[in-house]
Amino acid sequence: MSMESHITLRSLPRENLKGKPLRTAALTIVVTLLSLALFAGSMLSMNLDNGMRSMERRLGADLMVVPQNSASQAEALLTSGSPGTFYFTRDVASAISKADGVAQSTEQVYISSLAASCCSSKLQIIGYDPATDFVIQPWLSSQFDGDVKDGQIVAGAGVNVSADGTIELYGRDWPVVAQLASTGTSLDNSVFVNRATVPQMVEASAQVSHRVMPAEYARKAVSAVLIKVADGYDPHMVARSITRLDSSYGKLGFVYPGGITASTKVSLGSLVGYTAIVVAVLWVMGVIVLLAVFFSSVNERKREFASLRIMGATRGMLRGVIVREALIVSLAGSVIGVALASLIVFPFSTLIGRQLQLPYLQAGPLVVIGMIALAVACSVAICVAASMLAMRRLARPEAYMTLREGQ
Amino acid sequence: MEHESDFRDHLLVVSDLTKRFRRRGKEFDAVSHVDLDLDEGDFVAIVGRSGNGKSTLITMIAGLTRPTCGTVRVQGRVVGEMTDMELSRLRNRTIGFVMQSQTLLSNLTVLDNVVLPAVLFAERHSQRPADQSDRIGRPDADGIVPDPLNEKAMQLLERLGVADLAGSYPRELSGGEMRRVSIARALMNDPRLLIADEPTGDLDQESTDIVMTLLRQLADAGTAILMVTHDPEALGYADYALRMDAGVLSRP
Amino acid sequence: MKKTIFASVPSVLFGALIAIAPQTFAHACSGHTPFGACHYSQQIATGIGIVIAVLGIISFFVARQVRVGINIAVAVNSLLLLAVPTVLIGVCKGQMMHCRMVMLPTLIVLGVLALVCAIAAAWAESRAKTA
Repeated sequence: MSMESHITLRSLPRENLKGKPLRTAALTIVVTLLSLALFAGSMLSMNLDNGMRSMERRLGADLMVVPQNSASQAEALLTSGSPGTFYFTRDVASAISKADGVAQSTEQVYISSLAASCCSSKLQIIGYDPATDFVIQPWLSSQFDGDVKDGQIVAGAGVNVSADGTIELYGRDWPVVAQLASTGTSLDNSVFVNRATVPQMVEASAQVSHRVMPAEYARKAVSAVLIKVADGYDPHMVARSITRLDSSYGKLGFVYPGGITASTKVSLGSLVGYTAIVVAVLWVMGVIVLLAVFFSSVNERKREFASLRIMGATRGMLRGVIVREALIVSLAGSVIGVALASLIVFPFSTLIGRQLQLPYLQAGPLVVIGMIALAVACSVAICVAASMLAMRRLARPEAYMTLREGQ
Repeated sequence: MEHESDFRDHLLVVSDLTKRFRRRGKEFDAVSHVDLDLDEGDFVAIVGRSGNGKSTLITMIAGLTRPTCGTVRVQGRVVGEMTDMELSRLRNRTIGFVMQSQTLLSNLTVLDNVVLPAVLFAERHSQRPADQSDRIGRPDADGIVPDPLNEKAMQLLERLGVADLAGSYPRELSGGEMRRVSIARALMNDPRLLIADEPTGDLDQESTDIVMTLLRQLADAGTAILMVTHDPEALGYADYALRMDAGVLSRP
Repeated sequence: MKKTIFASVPSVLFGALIAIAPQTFAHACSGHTPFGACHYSQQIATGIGIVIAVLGIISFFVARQVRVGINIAVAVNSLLLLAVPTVLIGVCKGQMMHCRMVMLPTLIVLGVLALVCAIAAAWAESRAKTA
């Protein structure tokens, strides 16, 4: 029989855990679930919150005027990112910009691309007017120096730019001068062009027999007029004043990005709320289970701890054994939990964002590391605290009496 | 070993020790004004009917229960005035305690159970000039090197006739085997004072002889032994017996 | 016997999932001809999945030492599986394409789980009873 090195006080907790595999497994699973729920839930909430803030920054206009029957399409374009093409003409747009209460206005053209090449999805092409723009330019300039010249493209984060720095649209390769950071909104799936590039695009689309709009409209098409209202005006008031400009304007579509943000906020808030409730309920149940397991083991362990006491273990040693057992179990459990949650949250990030139909922006690595640390710390803390609470009697001075009661 | 050059030169001095319990609103003394001296090499048995305070007396001596009044001195120091750390060291180093009930740790093997008392204050152990140099015990990676603590535990198990059970877990042992392992554990740190509560409680004739012969040898070698027993067989090995009756200790 | 189950069942389970998933819910992008990268990744994933599952089934009936080897093979196959849609063949480039949104992450998750289980099983089986 070969002799292994002898047992130590440090290895005692491990032996105790090995000696009770079922209890150890149960505790580990509970802590795993706790940290999984906490980490996944908080990552979800944080990413939604991130997406929301990003969306608010991107929707810098108070009012969007779009062609008749296009309001819902325009809203969809802002929120869920289904590309669309719709337009009216420039004269309408310039008339609108003179309406009462309009402080600033700019025109944008939206064209839905074909699925560019075999393996990519439809893109939203957004033509904006650098001269009047107040929505896109501030954002672009934070990431890209200089102007977007005719024919050049700025791509959203989700757009697939080929290795040579171009993107194929309507059978032509367009140079991409910059790619923007992810926003978690539909804009990630958009490309931005100078308004003057739009006719070239229309021409290109005609050549691949997928004319997006009649040639005569190419220069005067406007899909939306984005308006910033003057101080003291309400976007709805401005909308009414626009409809009064011309009898035919009554049919124009009005989109209130603020309203979209507000309604998105509501559904996002309720989702975050539900997530928080689910996580909280799970934690309450988990802590109850932990306490139940720990308390149920107190009686059977009285003898064990009294015995340690009799052979000369100090109270500190007993506490050390209890705490280390809880630490081993909870560290293992919480690391497994975070790892499992990561396997869902990170690879499926895009799918989650898509399924939620809400702006969903993956938080940065520092925040993620912080959340991992927090989830692990909380799970470990709750497990150690529960075990200390349950076992505190075992380390009390008159340990021998508890043993005699147990006789 | 350092002797306190006190006026009390005894290893164990119990004076006026009393433990008062309250049962159904009535106070009674489970242990009543007990005086007892024990020197190294003394082997004293305490007899008496159960419920007469024998166990209470020895748990107070080991500092596991606080007396209502009176003092216990071990090596000249008052047990009741020690800190938790001092008391724990005393229990670990000076006193060996064999309990009446089964107290082996179920998650450890028999061998580990016996070794455990020796590693609680591990830093002190490594400073102790051991007969086998501690360097040998260090290299954990090499399993072939005999570990001095394991060796010693094996010797104890051998002397108690349970060496073949070293790798077993307590749940695989009979009551008598567990008892003998408990005795081995109590002897692991070479205690100066061995307190044994019914050490032959569930042992057969043969095992009783083995255990009692060992205790006798220990006493002859200078260990003080205080034993509570019902067993007339075991009594024969002791120097003398004291009788405990309704909390009062007396010479029969 | 218990240990055998822990060392063999995960391979069968994950192998089957790896084989089935790309052909069902985590399919490649549909509708583009000629076949894109995702189609080939899908087919190879199914192949690797079948290999892992078969290895798992075989490992029920062999000696412990052989089971160690089989689990190492499963681990290497899992690495291969991870490499297929990421490095070796890839998937479609569009962010919102089904293969990228569903198939790629599904294969990665299954691959990681199969890898971890196989390594754990190989480790556990290799140290059992040798002490």
